[in-house]
Formats: sequence, C-alpha cells, structure tokens
Amino acid sequence: MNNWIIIAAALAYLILLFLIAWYAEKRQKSGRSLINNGYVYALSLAVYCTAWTYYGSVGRASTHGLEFLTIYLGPTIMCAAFWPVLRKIIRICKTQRINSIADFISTRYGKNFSIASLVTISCVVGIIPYIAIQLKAISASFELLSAGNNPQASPVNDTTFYVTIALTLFIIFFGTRSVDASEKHEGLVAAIAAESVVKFLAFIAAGIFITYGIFNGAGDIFSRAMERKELQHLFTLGGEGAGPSSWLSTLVLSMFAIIFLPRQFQVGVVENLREVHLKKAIWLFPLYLFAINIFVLPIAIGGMLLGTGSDADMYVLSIPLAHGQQWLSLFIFIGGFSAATGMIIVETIALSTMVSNNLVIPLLLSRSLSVGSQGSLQTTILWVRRISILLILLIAYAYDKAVAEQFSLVSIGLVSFAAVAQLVPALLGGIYWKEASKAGAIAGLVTGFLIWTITLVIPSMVNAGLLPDAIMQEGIFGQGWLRPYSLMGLKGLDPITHSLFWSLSLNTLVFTLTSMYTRRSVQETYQAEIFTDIFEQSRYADNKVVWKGNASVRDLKGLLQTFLGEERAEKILVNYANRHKIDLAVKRADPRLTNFTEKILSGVIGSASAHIMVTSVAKAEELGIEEVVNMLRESQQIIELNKELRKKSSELAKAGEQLQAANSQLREMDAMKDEFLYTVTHELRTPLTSIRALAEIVHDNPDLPDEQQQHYLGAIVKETERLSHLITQVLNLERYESGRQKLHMSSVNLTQLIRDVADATLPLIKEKQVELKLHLPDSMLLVECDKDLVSQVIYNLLSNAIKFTPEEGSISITTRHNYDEVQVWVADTGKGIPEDLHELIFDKFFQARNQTLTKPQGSGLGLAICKKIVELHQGKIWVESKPGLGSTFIFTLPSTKTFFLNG
Amino acid sequence: MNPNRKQQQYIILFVALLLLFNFPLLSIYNKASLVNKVPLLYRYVFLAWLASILLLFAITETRKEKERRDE
Repeated sequence: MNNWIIIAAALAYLILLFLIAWYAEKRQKSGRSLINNGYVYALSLAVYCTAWTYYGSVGRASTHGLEFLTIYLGPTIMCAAFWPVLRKIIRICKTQRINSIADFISTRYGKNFSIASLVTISCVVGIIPYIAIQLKAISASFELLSAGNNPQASPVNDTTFYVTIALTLFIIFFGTRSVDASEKHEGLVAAIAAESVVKFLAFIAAGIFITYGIFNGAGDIFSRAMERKELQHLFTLGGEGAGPSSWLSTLVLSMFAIIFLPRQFQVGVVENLREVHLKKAIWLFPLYLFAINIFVLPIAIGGMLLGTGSDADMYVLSIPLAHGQQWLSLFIFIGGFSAATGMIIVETIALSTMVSNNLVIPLLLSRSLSVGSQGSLQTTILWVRRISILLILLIAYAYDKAVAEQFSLVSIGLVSFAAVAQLVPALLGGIYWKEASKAGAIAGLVTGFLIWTITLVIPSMVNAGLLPDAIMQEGIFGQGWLRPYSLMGLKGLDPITHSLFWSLSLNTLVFTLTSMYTRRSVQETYQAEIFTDIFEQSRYADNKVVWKGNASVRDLKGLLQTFLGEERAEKILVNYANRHKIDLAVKRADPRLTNFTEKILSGVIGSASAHIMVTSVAKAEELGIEEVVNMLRESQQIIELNKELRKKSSELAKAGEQLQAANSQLREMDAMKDEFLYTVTHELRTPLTSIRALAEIVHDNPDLPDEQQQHYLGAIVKETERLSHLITQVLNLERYESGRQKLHMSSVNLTQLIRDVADATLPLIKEKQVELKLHLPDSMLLVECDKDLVSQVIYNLLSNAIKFTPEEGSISITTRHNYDEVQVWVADTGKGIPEDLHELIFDKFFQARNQTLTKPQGSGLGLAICKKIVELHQGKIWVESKPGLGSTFIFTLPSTKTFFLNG
Repeated sequence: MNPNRKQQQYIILFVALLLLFNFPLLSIYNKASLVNKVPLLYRYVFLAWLASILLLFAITETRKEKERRDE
C-alpha cells in the first residue's frame, strides 16, 4: 500500500482524536461533561490494552498457548478488589490532591523528596522500554503494510520519528493545559475512551475475517491444529514459561499492573471523576478484556496453520494483507496505532508529571527558595512538563532503535510490569499498615529495584551486546551467587518468575523489618493515620489543623500566585474563605487556610515540594509526635461521641413521645372510669330508690290490704331482679374488656341457635303482640364460636327489637353468608335511629346519658356487651337505620370453618 | 443492610477467582483434546471468565437497588 495513504490515514486518525478531545473540553467548560459516567471510565481503563494486547498476545499465543491470558485474568481478579482497595486509593488521592503514583508514596511517607525521586526514577527506567515497544509496534506494522506494494525499503525510521513528534505535540496540547496536575484532563480521557473503541472494533474485525473469512470458524482452526503434532501443545499449559509457577507469577504481575502502572494510576485514580464510576468499571472492564481476547488463540493457530512465515506478533495484520484485504488491513493498522498511541499518551503524561514534580521542580525551588521574588512560576512549570514529555518520548524512540528491535513485545512489557510490582509493598503497606515507615519503604524499594535490575535489566543489556556474555555464566563481578538467571543458585524458574520471587519477597521482608525497627517522624505518623483511616478521616479532613505556625495571609496568597497566577489564586482563596467563613483581612492566617494552600500546591508541584514551600512561609514549629497523634485521636473521639450523643438524644425523644402518649391515654381512661362510675351508680340508684320507696310503703302501712301488699312486694322483687341483672352485666362487660373472658369455641349450628333464642323470647313477643319472622336456610350453618356468648348477642338484639317495636309491628331475623363471614340481620319496624347516633349507641350507658330523649328501657349495656362479644370473635357489628323506617342490626362472624350440610 | 456485606462478597469472590484461575484447578482441564471442536482448557477458562464477570455484575449492581431504596 502506498506510504502516503497510510500516513494520511494515521494523521487523519490523530486529527479525529484531537477533535474528540477538543469537543470534550468544550463540553467540560460549559459544565456538561462528556465523560462523567461509568462507561467512559471503564473504557478509559482499557488503555491497559496496548500494542502488546493488539499484536503481542497473538505472538505469545503462537508459542505458549493460552498463557497470554494471565495478563487479562489478573485484572479480572483484581476487579473484585476494586471496591475495597481502589476506592480507598481514589479517596486518599482526592482528599490529598495527589497527582501521580510517586506523589502517592511520597505523601504517605511524610511528603518526602528522596522517596518521591526514587519512585520516579524507577518508574521512568522501568516504563521507557514499554513505551519503546509501542513505537516499535507502530513502525513494524507500518513497515509490513507499506511493504505490500513497495518492496523497496521505505523511510520507516523517519516515519516513527514523525509519529513520535506528532504524539509529543498532541500530548503537550492536551496534557499540559493547566498547571494543576490534579485537575482532570477531560479531553484526554475522552480521546482515550474513543481509542479503546477503535482498537476493539479493529481487532474484532481482524478476528472475524481470519476465523470466518479464511477458515470455517474457530472449530475448524482448532480441529485442523489437532491433526498437527507440533501445534498440539498450544492447547495445554506447560513447558518453559507456561508452567504453574510462571502462570502464577504473570497473574500476580498483571494484578498489580492494572492499578499501579503509572498510566493505569493516571486514568483509574487521578482522572477518576466520581467514586461511583468504579461500579460500572468493575464488570464492564473485565467484559472488554474478555471480548478482545476471544479471537487471539484462533488467530495465532490460524497463522501457524497458514505458515505465512512472518513474525507471529504481526499475524493480525499480515494475514489479512496476504489475502489481499487492503482496506481491512489499513483499518487493522489504525486499530493497532490507536492501541499504541493511547498507551504512549497516558503513560507519558503520568511520567512527565512525576519527573517535573519530583525531580525538576525540587531542584528549581532549592535554588531560589525566597518566595515572591521570582515572579510567576506557572509557565516555568508548564515548560518543565513539556520538555519532560519530549525527552521521555525521545529516549523511548532511541531505546526502540537501539535495543527493542531484538525482543518480542510481551517480554519487554513483562519487565516493566515487574518494575512496577516493586512499588506494591510500600503502597499497600502504606494504606493498611500504620507502622510502615519511610525508612522501611525506601529500603524495600531499593532492594526490590536492585534485584529487578540484576535479574532482568542486566540480561537484556547482555542480549543487546552492551555487557559481556560472561556475566550470565559467571555471575556479576565473577560472583557465582550473582548469576542473573539463578540468583543464590535458584534454578528451574523462568526469568520473570525468578526475578519476581526474589525481588518481591526480599522487598517485602526488608520493608516490613525496617519499618518495625525505625522511628517515624511526626509528618509520617500524621499521614499514616490519614491514609489508613481515610474513610473516617476524609469526613473532617478539611477542618483538621496540623499547622501551629505563623503564616501570614499575604505570604500564602503570594505562594498561590507564584504557582497559579494572580487571578486564579485570588479566586480560589476567596472561595475557600467564604465557604469556611474565614476572614482574609487579618494578618495572621487561619491554620485551615495554611492547610488548604498546601493542598492546592500539592496538586501543582507535588506534596513534597508543596510541604516545603508552605513550611518556608509558615515558619512552623515542629509539632510533637504525641500532639499530632492526640489531635487525630481527639477528633476521631469527638466524632464517635457526637454519634453516640445523637443516638442517645433521639432515643430520649422517642421515649418522651411514648410517655406523653401513654399519659394522655391514661387521662382519657381515667375520665372514662369516672364517667362509668357515675353512670353505674346512677343506674343502680334508680332501682334502689324505687325498692326503698316500695319497702317503706309496706313497712309504714302494716294494715294494707293483702292484695296491695302483694303487688308492692312483687314490684320490689322485680326491681331487685333488675338490679342484679344490671350488676351481672357490668361485671360481664368488665370481664370482656379486661380480656379475662376466655372463649369456649365449638362448632355451633347457627340456624338452630337462632331458633332456640327465638323460642326463649316467645313470651315477650306474645306480650308485645309483634310478629317474628325467621328467614333461615334449611341447611345447617356451622360456625366456630362460643355458643353461650353468641346466643347472648342474639338475645340482646332480639329483645331490643321487641322493646322498640310498636304493637302490630314485625321483626325478622335473616342470615347471609359468603366465603369468609356469616351475617345475622335482626330487623325491626320501630321508630329508627338518627344517623349521627349509629356509632354512639354501642357505647356504654349511651341510653342512660341521653335520658332526655327517651325513657330508659334497659340498662344501656346490652349493645356495648354485644359489641365486645362480636369483637372477641373478630367480627363486626353495626346498625343500618333511618328514623321512622325501623332499624336493622347486623353482626358478622368470621367463617373460615363455615360450611353447609344439607339437612 | 450491613455496608460491610458487599465488601465481604467482593473479598470472597477475589479469593475464589484466584483459586479458579490457577493451578492445580487448571490442571484438571489441561489436556490436549477438543470438545465440540473447542479445546478443553480454552473452553474452561473462557466460561469461568464469563461466570466471574456475571458475579462481579451481580454483586455490584444488585446492591444498587437496595441503596436506591435506602435513599
């Protein structure tokens, strides 16, 4: 294919990225962020998939079978730890305004320069080869694609160089806009997410073409390979580099890499907008890895079957090309280009921030520490970052030309992973172990990187011809125990596993032991508390004060102006002061302001530099270690106490409410009791008065005629009966209300019961000359109830009806039934009851209290008793009536056990 | 619901995945044979992988409903 077409396509692609980034920044400024969602976050994490994934996986699979998957299974496993671990790291970085992994470690261990620069140098040394292989992949794919039409060697070298320069410009434009490195690069993240989509689509397109276009699906590829003895080993794991130990070691390496590689830290932590975006990434990101890897093995084996003869790393591109698919090949080339550029862009930004903040700026500041005198440092810082970006890319380019040519993509990538793994003990120890100290971290890191250098870097230098071969056989300086591939005589492991075993175990051991036996400075102790308890601390971190010094507001403002420019510094300060009600007019700065200034500066120049800058103007007295610890403890205790107090007071309030409710209920009941007593005694007195009057008549007139005497005595007996009836009723009612009445449930034939009660009232009916009609079914109507009590209800209702029905009137009793209840209707043709009394008549002594209306007939307790009994049976009782039209009393009994027996 | 519950689920899954994607469990399927034209190991790893993604999804997203109700 013509070179110019390829170059034009690559350039067009970069311009597209540029437009996406530009659009995203525009949206950010207008407040409608394009990337403020979990999907973009998950896609940006996929910057993990570089040219290594795109080209290298196939190459690796063609020699080691499924072993390449460890690089993607590790991150999948780590996704399960995202919520517990990564969220904690994100929270720490947000509250502390941390902008790189070196800054993270240095902030944890007391905002210290030496450790920050150590981490920075190790990262740069470890990662530059990794960037170089991305450049290598770009140039190799370009070479392959252009050689199709152009057998003569093309100016490839220059092309890689131009790509390097184009990328540099792109990164400088979008990565170093603002001096505040902890500020989000939304345009960049949007571009990275777009790249993840492009490389995914291109790789899947290649996979589909090779698997289904050239072969008849993956099954076809697999079964053909099964027939070839030399390919069978690709279906299993084993042998050099793919045994259990190397499987485990690459798995562990990739687990660490997914969080702690500088570029992953950049997109996963620094560029993270909201913690909740993690939730989408936890399952979406492994899904992406899963999908992009499905076709790797089919492509690798397919390439072996076809025997194209080209480098297996390039099968993805070379197979479609060999089958004449020019445009598909160009698309695949762009996919690989996007995988490589995505990695280069993010990695370079992360590294350049680290280099400028931790190596260059400290040097600049140490030369002129007097603040305010050197004017604005903003542009200086930006230029430092831009130049570091250029340098990093140029070194990577040089490395690519000099060394990387000789290695496969994967082997160099793994060396970088192994370098990053050295940060893990200090990092994880830092967020979970309070005793971890700066001395321990430095000792561990140095040990780890030293072993990494011996076991992985030196062999690669020997391979590149920079060091004599003898080192590999005889050991460094001729020391037998220092052989790079068999340290201390340990043999039988592949180089990566061997290196990882020694470096990580000794790193951890030295780190923990040194930490245990060294003292920590005040600043370290303070940071250790914050890092390990971030979820507790971040709630009040803003108000916590560890500055005892005497900073003046003017000095702090000067500091901010130096690094942010006048306008922004003013804006930030005033905003903060307004939010926390701090007076900026006073001379001596509020300690919170000092703290805030340090935090803002951390975002710009890293925590170590920021700390030194602020200390220089605050003239802080060093706090005692006890003082700091007490401060932290105290505020924590206060929070605990507050929580406890709030809980207690809400409990108290609840108890108070309950008491009040109980009290008013008691009052009500007391009033009811008074009223009840009043009415009962009143009711009792009426018959007593008449008994007394009658008895006095008989007593005072001994010569009354017998007949009359008999009459009076009869009246006395009747009144006493009424009296004892009343007392029985009062006692009954009291029993029902107090709940002492037990129901003696049995199956009762309700029709029979009604007939019996009706028979018992026959004398009354005859006396009153009313008609009683019974509308009862012929069958049995069985209800589970207390026979005596229910018959009392029916009796009371019936006798009431008789009482209030005028002569010649009629009374009817009807039963109705449905699924869950039986109704008994007792209807009369009396004078009816006004609607507003329908509920009141079931009250105790309602009649008695309304004696003005009618002459009392009965005790006034009958209906109240009926109501109680029906309620005891979980039934209902009510009245339907209109004045002048008679009334109907209806009560129901639940009838789960009701059934009919045809009699 | 106890907020630590989710943490525990994640940690259990983390340990389970470490075991699932490692020797000696892998050696059960480490045979050069095809089932329905798909290599045994390839099939196992990809199915286990898909299952683990589903579990991650389940732990992460089911909690959301409850949170929403809590709010």
